[in-house]
Amino acid sequence: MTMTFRLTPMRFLAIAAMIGLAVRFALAPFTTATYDVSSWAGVINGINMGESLYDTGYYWYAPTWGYILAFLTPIMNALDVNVQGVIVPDIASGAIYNAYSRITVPEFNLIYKTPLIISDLVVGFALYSIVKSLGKDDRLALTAFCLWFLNPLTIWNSSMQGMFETLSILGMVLSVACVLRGQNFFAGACIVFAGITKLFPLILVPLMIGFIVAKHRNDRGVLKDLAMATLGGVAMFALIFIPVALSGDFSQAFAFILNRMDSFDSGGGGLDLLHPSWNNIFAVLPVILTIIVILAIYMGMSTRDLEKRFLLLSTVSMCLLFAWPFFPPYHQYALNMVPLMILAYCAGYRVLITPIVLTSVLFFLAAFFWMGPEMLYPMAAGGYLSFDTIGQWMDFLKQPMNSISNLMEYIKFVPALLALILIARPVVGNALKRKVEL
Amino acid sequence: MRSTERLVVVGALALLVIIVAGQFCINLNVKTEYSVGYGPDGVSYDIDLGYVSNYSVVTFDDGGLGRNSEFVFCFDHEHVWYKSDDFIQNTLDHLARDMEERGLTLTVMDTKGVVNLMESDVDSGSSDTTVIFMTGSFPSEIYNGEEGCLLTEWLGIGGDLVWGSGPIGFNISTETECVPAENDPGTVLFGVEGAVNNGEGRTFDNVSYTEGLADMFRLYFSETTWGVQTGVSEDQLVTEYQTNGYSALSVTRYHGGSGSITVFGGDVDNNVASYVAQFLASGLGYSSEITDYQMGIGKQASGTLKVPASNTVVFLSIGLMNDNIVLYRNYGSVESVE
Repeated sequence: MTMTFRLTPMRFLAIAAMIGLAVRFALAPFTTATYDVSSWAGVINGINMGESLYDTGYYWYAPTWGYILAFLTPIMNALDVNVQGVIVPDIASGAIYNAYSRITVPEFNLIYKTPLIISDLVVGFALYSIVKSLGKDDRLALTAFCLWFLNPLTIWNSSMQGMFETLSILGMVLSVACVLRGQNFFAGACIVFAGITKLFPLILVPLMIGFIVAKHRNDRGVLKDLAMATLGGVAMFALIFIPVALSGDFSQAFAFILNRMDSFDSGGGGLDLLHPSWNNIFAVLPVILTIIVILAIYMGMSTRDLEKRFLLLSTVSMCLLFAWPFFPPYHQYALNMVPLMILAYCAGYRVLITPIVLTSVLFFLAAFFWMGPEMLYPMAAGGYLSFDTIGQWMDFLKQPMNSISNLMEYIKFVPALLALILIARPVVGNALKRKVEL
Repeated sequence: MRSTERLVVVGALALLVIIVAGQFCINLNVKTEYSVGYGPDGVSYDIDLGYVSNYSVVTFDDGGLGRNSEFVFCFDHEHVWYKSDDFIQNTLDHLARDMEERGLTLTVMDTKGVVNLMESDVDSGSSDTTVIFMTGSFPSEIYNGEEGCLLTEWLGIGGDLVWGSGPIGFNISTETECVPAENDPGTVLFGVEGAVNNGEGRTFDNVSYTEGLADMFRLYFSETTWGVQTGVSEDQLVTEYQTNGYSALSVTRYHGGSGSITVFGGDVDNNVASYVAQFLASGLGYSSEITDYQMGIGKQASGTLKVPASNTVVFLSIGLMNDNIVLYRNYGSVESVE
């Protein structure tokens, strides 16, 4: 009797998930962004010393990620993991890249990145489920999963750099899933979770309101649905912030946003073509928000193809943030566009495959060149390479790689702008055609 | 519900549970116990922690200088400083917190207050206060670029000055401007022309110095942009971080008296303010000499260190960067210790 192996969609999904996990767990221990991980180690050390998140001096975000680090602290202590790492002069000098960082050991990196990797996986499954529910197309759903989970930028963000964008994106994707299904309480909770973890997903809120309004054009359920979404949002906000408020750190939880705005103000607040800076985005924020509101009104007035339109306009809203020359986003921020582009692609806007690939490759390379050999220092901390060897690579490669990274700052707007152009082209074309016919 | 949807729900709930559980892990009160004791065999120490940590225990002879108990940070908004007010305030905020974590209290005093303090010290002929300038320039009421000014008089009677964020003595602040000093500050403050580095661009020392003075005391400050020349005085203590003969961190005896001038040869911003706090907590001075040390990493450690013939100081440090816990014990001379 011969056994035949049939590659069912679920098996394919399992294989893709295993490949993605294998790559992540192979990279996670041995790579880091030294500056960021230095902060996470500082938070864990502070917690060990009985400090609150914000007393550690290393934490400036809303507390979501901090709570996860706090959860990991006793686990690391129980496993006797060195949570302090080692100082490396090449980095401590500040001459090459950043100042006063420490290198964490591989076990530390593996443990703190594991929740991020889980989040990546859940986002992938959520995308699969959304696409499946849209059209029952297994192949397309698998494509969505692979475009996210095997994406080099996604892998970089959670498993190499070790930043927590994926948590915020998880909240965003779940809120999209919930709002499409009419589970508005959870949609509200998830978008607030996403927005307080990292701000970007909040840009979808007006559109979500528009979607709910559009869904209830012919009935009176709109207020109830909006109330449920608000209730969900308030509940999530309370869940995350009550402990912080009780410890008197409420205002510090928003320091990150205020610091960014201060940075824009202190920089003169103007357009500096020679020194592109993401913080200057605040200069055009009123314009972006105006467009977002117009899109939300358009969404609210829509009568057909609501789901497809919502997914497309979500992509447009997010791309609006990243399509500006001279305001180059940090590479991890660009990841916010990817799941929305994937959903719009799967909803029928196939032209978006080009910006998806471009975003993934361009920002991955920008990140790679930005970090250079420095990302490999944990291998030395773990005893797999000598610090001197990596130091020699640093001397040889760091500056040229940084130069390339700096040049890439000038083209980071291209993928988002391309997406907007590709989306707008048929709309403009149709409008012109109608005008000619008239 | 499809299997992938179940996975999404389970995964999202798991992360939510982790986040909620994490809220309760912030105040776990992890065990942090450490002690030192003076005995016939030397100084013994015992560290017992609930987490893996770097530690360092050092015994040294501080030359009888001791450690001041009062620390004053000179800053006001009436002067135009070399560094911006925002920069200085940021440094001040972090330094105050980092000192508090090490059991030290920092008092902020405006120029008038510091003038009064120094004049009082000069009148009495002694000083027990460390005055810290992280402004990058001296106020004209205290230093005018010439010997015989209030600062040099105060240093002459034993004042303890700690400096950072600019070339020491090169710039003088008034209420309307910050102007370059006319005389070479190297000559005025250290008795040697060109003793203070003031080159173009920022410079750092990138070399590793394992188990040197910097490593022992966790003083990894490595910027030498405005460092003081190594060897400018016989009474000088420097860490290993140096560039072209200028030190990143130096403690030098004032050439015209018993005062002390500590210079951090670069910007002291929020990233490195902890090194200033660490230095202040250490009790190191220009005549300190290391007798013995033990360093390592782990949850538990104990041992015995040799002690100097006199002026015994023990410094214990747990941690690595901003997370240092320190213990300072000054046992004075061996004879005085039972």
